[in-house]
Amino acid sequence: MNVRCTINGKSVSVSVEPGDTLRMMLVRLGHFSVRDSDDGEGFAGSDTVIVDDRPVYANLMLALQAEGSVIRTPDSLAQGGRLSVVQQAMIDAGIVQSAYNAPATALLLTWLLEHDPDPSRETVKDVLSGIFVRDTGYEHYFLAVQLAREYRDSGRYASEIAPQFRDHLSYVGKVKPKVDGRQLVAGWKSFVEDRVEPGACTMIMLRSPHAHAYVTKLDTAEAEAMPGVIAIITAANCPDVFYMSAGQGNPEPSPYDRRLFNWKVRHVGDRVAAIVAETEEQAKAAREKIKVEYQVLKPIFTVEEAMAPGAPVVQNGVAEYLSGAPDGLDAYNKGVDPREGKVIYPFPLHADIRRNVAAAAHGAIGDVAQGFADADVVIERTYQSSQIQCTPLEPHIVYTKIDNDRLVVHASTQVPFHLRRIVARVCGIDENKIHVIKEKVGGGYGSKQDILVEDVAGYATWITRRPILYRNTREEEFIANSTRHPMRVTVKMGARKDGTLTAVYMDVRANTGPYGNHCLTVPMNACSKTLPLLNCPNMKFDVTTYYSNIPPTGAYQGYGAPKGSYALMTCLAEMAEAVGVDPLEMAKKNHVERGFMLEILKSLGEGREGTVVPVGSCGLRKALDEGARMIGWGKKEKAPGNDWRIGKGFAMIQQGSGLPGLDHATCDVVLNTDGTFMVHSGGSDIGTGLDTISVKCVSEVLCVPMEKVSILSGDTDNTLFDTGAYASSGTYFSGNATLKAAENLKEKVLAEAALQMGEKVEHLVLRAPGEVFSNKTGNVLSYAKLSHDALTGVGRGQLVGYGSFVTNNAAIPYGAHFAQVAVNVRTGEVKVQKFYALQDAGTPINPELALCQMYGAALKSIGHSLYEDLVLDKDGVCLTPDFTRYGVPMTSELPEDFKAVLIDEDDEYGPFGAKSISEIATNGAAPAIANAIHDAVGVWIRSWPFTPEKILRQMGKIS
Amino acid sequence: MIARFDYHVPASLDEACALKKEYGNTGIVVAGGSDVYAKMHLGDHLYDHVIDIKKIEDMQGIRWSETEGLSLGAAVTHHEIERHPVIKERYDVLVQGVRTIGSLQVRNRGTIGGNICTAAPSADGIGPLLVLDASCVIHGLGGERTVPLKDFFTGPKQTVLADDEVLVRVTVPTPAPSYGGAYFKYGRRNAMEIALLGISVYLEVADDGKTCSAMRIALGTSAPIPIRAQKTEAYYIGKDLSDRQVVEAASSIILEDASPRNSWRADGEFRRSLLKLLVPRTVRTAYGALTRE
Repeated sequence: MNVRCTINGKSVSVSVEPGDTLRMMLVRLGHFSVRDSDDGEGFAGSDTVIVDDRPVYANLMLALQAEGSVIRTPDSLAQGGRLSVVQQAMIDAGIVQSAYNAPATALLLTWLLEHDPDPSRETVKDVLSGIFVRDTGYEHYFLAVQLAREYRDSGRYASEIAPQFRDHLSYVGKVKPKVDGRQLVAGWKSFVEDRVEPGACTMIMLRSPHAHAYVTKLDTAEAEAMPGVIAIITAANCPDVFYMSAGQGNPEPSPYDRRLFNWKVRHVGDRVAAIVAETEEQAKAAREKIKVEYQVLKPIFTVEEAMAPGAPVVQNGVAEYLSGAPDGLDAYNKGVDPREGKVIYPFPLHADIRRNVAAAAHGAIGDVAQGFADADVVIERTYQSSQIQCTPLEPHIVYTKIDNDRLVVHASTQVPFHLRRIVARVCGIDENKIHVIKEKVGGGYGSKQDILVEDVAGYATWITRRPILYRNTREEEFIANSTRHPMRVTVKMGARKDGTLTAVYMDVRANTGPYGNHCLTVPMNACSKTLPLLNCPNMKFDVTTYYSNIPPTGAYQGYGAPKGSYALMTCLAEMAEAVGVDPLEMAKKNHVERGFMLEILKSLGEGREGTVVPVGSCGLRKALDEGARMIGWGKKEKAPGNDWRIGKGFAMIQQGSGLPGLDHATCDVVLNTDGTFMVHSGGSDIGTGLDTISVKCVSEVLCVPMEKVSILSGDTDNTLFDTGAYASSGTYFSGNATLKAAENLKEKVLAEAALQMGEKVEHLVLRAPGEVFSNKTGNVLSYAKLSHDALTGVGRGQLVGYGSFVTNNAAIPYGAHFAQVAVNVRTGEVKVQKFYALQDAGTPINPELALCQMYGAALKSIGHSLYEDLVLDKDGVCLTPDFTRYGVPMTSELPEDFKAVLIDEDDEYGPFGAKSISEIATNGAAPAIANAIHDAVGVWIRSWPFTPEKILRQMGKIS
Repeated sequence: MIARFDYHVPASLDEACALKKEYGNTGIVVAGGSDVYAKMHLGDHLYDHVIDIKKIEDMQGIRWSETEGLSLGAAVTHHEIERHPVIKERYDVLVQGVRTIGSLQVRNRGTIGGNICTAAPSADGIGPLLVLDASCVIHGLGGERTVPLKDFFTGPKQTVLADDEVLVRVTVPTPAPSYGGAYFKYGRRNAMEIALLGISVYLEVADDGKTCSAMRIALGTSAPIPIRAQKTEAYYIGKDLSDRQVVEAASSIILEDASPRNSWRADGEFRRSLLKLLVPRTVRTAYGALTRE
């Protein structure tokens, strides 16, 4: 059938099928900025287009329904490479980050300003009600509208975008357009799906309907004979290679406890078969024909069930150790059912898989028993966190192909180099046979630190030699992706009457689900990013992680710290109540300050001894004082009605900046023939602005405008090694590597200039806009001429700066989050009236992006605290496999008064004094809101999410 | 492609009814598509035939007169309703309801007819229409009939529509010059959310300004279908609505009208406690919103 319509001013006539959505038609016509985040749920808004002057979801309209209509798509906004005012304002406001739906948002805001040139905040909120973003927390969307209005009316911005830092620097600490902002907001080719070539095959998964079962029969014969089917991969024909999905440093502190496909399925949604076919339809048809029989086993879902004597064992295979094997392993492995596979530990993690223990760790400083004996008051409380999904807008996706007889992986990943290593292991090939290209990442948040789709797709392409696209459905994101580990954290705390802590003990019981990726390190982080906030001399922790049959867990922004922080900071407030000291005074009495030796770090290394370092730059006290001032700490607020009570709370927070002693980043910077620069950074910008940080470092050191510096990053063929974007390492590690490379190049430029100019190096300086200047002679040599002469037959060759960064020094970001809530004593509703995120990020290199990341992390953790919840039924089937049922914060959930504040501190180790910014911001909301709820209505809510039901129950209003 | 199906665009009501009858369970009548296509994406309900009635003339437009009242074409979008000046002025409770549906993009496509025919117990458009005493004009091959909206729903996602019938228009009588209306949606989140509870209230008072002379209450997500709370309504008649205690005393009756059970989204006891609390509260809101000419 044919559709005639007008698209972006052009009349077209298109042949479509009845079942084609409008989005499919538009994408086929090249309008790929009309994206899909929700499989047509009508929620996330990436598929927004304007039809007959009304915004609609293109996934929810048939192409045929567009007959006769006038359609506008996001790619119509930029004219010949020139961005529109709205698009530019979005970049400048800092909201173009992972940006998967930034083009759709630009279109929507453009439409809004056409109809309402000066919209109110409420109108903007309403128009954005159908746009979901995870990374920037909406707040600066209002600023973007404001900036666009100002620019439209006066040709310049009047509003301040963000505070700026370090007057002596030109780029660092300044609001400058994100280097990849243009392509992202305009909707130009950016993401994995934009790289797919005609003729690519589609791969889909057959997944387990059972939470715990043996696969007893697999018959793929009929499916394999179906038209278009290229390959079907199952436990019967996949490589007998055990590995694990976490993209962590090698050797990994996680067990290799899975193959591509296993004879035992361990969660609903576990992989049973991969079907590769010419088309998606053919793949789906073939999937129907695969016959699988299961022997269903009793599943377990909680830590308590996993701990119970005689509990079903989730990973009951042969235990092996690559190093440090314990005694008695033969007896331990006797009689193991071969269908269970293996659990291979690169080094011992104190596991006992027969008791479902995937990993354990213990540590202490001082004398905890004595500390409790010395206390006037001892309390012990248990806090439970729930399973939370990362929900990146761009689902996990990969495009693999063979080129030049090598495997090419176009990936949406945080860890291209770990990805290469793991895929090489799975395929049984060497790393030189694999080229991983990190494309723009439409949201990672930790979930793309795991190799969840590249393993199968890479292997499938390697054996079939066919180009293959694989993309998770949104439901698969919920049931077969990584999530926050549910944790049960018990805190025992002792204090003197004056509020001084005498002892702290944390017992962390984490639920890793079916596989052990991150099973040691996430739960460890619950301790290692919280206990070092306290100056208490006696502290102890025990961490135990259990296997179960819930959907998989893994890394998620905060990485264990949000749960530890919720437990420890809420308990600190509970202790303040118990001893009768104001919680803020209590906090001030017990927190660390600059110079305090962090002895606790010794026992908090990731599977090995950690390095003890003193607290460096620390804006904790400033954050507490400023937050208390802003929120009016101690002041009683007027309730909005009889049924409402107001309360205030706060939490101290910290994170790290990468993993000292473990992470490694390298970079090179090349002087081009015309005097411009090319940066090759191993770092992975996942939308956060890391590439912009690298460019700023080079611009700053080499005194050239940012436009003269280009960057390629996260490409295993063309950039140097970097452990990747996780553990808040980007700025500190990858940024420092680029800084070192730039400084190295500066030395080489000066040395070469000295030779060319016939001067001594000590008389030469670099100066803007890109030249070498002699203090002695006043002579000037442009980079262009310098490079040209170095590369013309007789020169000494191209100038390349190299930087490799490793460190034992920690650049710890600190902060405090404050919340004011209104709680309805009859309905249990909680309204977040005020939320203030105050953070010391050292020098914020990209201050506008930093603010937006703080808003984003704070809002998502407000969501995690109040309503987000991955719910399973009694058989382990997910009841919340879409956005609406799972419940993520949209514009309507914004705190009434939402502020992100950068506390100015200069760090001695970070590049230009910078520390990490966004992960830490997920640690504050849960304890701050829990404490505020208690302040309002006098009850402690000790489990996520803080639902009205729990609050009323705790208050005794319902039984 | 979301599914393989034949696509039909009937030009008239009779043609639509004939197609619907012909295809029975293998066909689906679609207007805006915001419910149906979303389900098709999930592969949930697959149909061989899609009957698109969005452009049938009889289903278009919003008509109003003082004497005839309001007539909404089944294909009228939520957006058209929320923007209509007369509806905003005279049928504000309906605007309150449809404004809580989805997002701007959904309200631009979704239709009031679709909201009603999908027959979800949580539908935000239905409760307000129930308390406004709306009726459904239904067209079938045998002719036209009108069914009060409160009798339209027969079971979970089931309606009175016969095999050959489609909903053409929704008619709403002109409300009293002075009435109070309110819609209250309770959810975990403020928007893009399925109601845990939706309460609609329409009330009139006598000349003294406080004695209840008419009361209609509709409850969403409280029973398998959207319902009227008739016992509670009866309680209020003749009562002094300015007396808070009197208004709140209805909480002892409300569970006779509806008694929601446990679901994964909320415990039954919690939902019942909310009903007891929120129905009187919504009555108070409606009383406070009493419009006078």
